[in-house]
Amino acid sequence: MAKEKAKSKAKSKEKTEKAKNTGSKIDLELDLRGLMCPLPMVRVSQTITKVPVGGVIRAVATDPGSLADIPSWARTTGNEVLKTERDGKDIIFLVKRVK
Amino acid sequence: MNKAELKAVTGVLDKGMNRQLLYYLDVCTRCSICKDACHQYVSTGDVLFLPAYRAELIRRVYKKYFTRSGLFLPSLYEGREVDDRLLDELYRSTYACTGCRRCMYYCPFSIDTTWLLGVAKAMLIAAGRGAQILTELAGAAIAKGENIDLFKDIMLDLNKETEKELQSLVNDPTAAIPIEKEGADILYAALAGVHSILPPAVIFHKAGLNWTLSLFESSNYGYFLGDAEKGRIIAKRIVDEATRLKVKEVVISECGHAYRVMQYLYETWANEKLPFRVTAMVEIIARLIREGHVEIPSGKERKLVTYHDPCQVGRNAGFYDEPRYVLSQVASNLRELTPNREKNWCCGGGGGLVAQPEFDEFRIKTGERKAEQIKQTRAGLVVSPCENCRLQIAALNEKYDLDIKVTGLSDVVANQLIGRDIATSFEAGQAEEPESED
Repeated sequence: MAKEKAKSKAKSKEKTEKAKNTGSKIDLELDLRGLMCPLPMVRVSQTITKVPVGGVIRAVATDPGSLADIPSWARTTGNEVLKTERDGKDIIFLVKRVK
Repeated sequence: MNKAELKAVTGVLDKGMNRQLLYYLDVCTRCSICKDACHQYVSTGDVLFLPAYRAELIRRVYKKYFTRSGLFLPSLYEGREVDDRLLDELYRSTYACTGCRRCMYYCPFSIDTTWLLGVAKAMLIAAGRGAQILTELAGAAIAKGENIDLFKDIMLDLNKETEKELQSLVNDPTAAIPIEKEGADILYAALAGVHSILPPAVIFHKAGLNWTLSLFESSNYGYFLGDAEKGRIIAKRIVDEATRLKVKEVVISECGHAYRVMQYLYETWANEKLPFRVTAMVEIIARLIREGHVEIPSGKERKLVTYHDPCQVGRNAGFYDEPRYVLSQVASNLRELTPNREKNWCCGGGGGLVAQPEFDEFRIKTGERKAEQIKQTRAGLVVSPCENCRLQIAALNEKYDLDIKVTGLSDVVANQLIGRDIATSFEAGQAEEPESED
């Protein structure tokens, strides 16, 4: 139990560190690994309303199509992709709800 | 609904009023043969999904606003006012339809319900009730086209990785996936993701084709949304690219609706003739094998395989023999679904339903006929050349415990060409480094 707590604490610290890179607090984590186009974009679109305006979603996808899809979706819906980075197979997006 | 909104909705119907629409609205005898043809009505028993009733909703609006009897005595002549209730019904019955056209096949008058629902979608869009997620997906595709320079570097980087995978798979360090190659014979429009690039790349490489990969995905959510203008803009990205590169042929990936859009709809939407030939992936594979450009190694797969005719590839595009010919070259034990070809049941995932979470439960429920068909064959591998069908059948596999693998036609051929089990998936990061020539 104590081990799990420590693990969770470390994970949370890691998230905070990553968020610091963009100066944003992460409000929601979204695991989109294994989903194929267009589902990563669909899930981000569905989930964005679950965070408050100004809130940030950290979405992790593996579908390469999401690299263009999610930023294009953000442009058309008035939201903002704060950061996109690749970590091995993972593609990590920080998406901010603007309106 | 205010007057301006009502005018917009009825205006769409007025504008679309042509001989075809009037014929379809007039000729239905309500025989209800279509009730046994529609997988959605068969599975739910809900009249909202009965093809004749789907058309009836439009007919009632027509009677109310475009006939004297309906205008003065709407209740007697079944005229119906456009209000929120009608629009709610119209939305659910229209955007739930997969556009499989099985009802049209069985209809004694060949009433094309999918065509009628195209009018219904235009009415819904005019009322501000187009499917939201499809609107967003179409918008994202258009934005990608308008800002391609922002994404090009990322795509080129990714392509380098895919190219390495290809080199490893075909054991040839010179194998390439060219992008923006002017003077190529073929432009291949894939879907997003390595799984729809690598198998055709293996086949094209083995056939020694002069080809290039499109920067744009072939899928078209403007079509699913029912917005012809958005559909045209999305397809135009590929048309412009093909024209700029002066290719002779555009090959559309294993994506049923994308082929239909480019082959049958774009010229009408854009009022222009395409300067290249449009070919479906199933068509080119059959051609390459028949003409001896690729030689399928001996040692056919003996496992039981079945083939699902995607509605947009079979009923709506006429490719029944090509995929079966291709499969006969790689697998010796093909067991057909019953029924099949033009009578095949829709899988339940077409029409953009796999991208609309609001219909998730519905599409799984209405896929039960397909699940039963697959179960009856006892096949362990289902081949289908349509991404929507594959996603849906994979979902049915989980829900109905079918114990199957689902794959594409180019996947089984590419696997056979490189000596792998035909059911092996093409995913990024699987391949080993290619052997060096020196």
